[in-house]
Amino acid sequence: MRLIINTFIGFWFLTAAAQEVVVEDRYDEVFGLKPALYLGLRSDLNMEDAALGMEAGLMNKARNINLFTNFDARPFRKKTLEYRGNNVFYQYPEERYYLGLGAEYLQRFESARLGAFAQLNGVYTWGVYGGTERKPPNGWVAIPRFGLFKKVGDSAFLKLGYSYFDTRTNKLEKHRFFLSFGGLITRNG
Amino acid sequence: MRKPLFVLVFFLVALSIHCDECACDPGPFFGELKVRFTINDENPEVLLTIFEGKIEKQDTLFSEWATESPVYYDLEADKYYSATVTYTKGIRQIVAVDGKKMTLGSDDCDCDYAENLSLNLKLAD
Repeated sequence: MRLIINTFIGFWFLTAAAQEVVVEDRYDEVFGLKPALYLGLRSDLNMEDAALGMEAGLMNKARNINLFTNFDARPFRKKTLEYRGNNVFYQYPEERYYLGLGAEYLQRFESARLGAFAQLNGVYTWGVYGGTERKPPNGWVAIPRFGLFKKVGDSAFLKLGYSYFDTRTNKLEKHRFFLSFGGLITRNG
Repeated sequence: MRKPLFVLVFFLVALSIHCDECACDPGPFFGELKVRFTINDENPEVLLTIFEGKIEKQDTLFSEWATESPVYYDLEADKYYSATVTYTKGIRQIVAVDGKKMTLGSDDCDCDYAENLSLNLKLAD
């Protein structure tokens, strides 16, 4: 009798486990895609300056809208001039950082290997000068970006585009190339 | 049987050597400050000033006319140093500023040592 009960319990457990796997594997057929988390490395650069950083975001079920947060920094110290009157300028090495939130639209990301994207990224930027207590300009800036994405494998993607990036650093070119490489990090991505 | 014994002896010897090497210098530690600046036709000689702390503190360590770059100073580590060089560029006067902390590093024995520091006061292009 005990053997029969144990066999029944074991069989019932295995059946439940198997069903669970099947439901998990067919989740997207039954419920559609889940929202997916993704991580990416990115850079906005031109011949004068660069920003390098990371973004983490959430892609919606339809895979056409991303909401993301980002942190970027200039990977070197850039010399900047500050006018102090009477033809006297001070040259400071400036570090610069960016912390922000953004939203992105991806065209046909779910179905196509190649498509277009457009995003708006609001960042708070602040800087640090070397050797002085003085602070460079800081504040919120809006960065529009657009370009093309290309899927790499099942869950990675590459983006190449244009960005209008006002770093608040004096007399810097604001037009930049945008490069990004990211990947979905959750299942059912 | 001989091989595990050999490994054990090797580790014991290595451990004892490691302990002998871990006699740390209590400090103070001195590192090399390297200062680079521009010497050109318009500025064959420049006034270089080294400060302890940021320039607003006006805690001057050295102030000298320099004709060759770079120059080196031995300074106590774990302190912030800044420097200025004054240039002429046409009718403009440009005061180049830079500063960083000379940090203490830590080796395998967890002993402190001074990290060298480099300040770049070259004129921007």
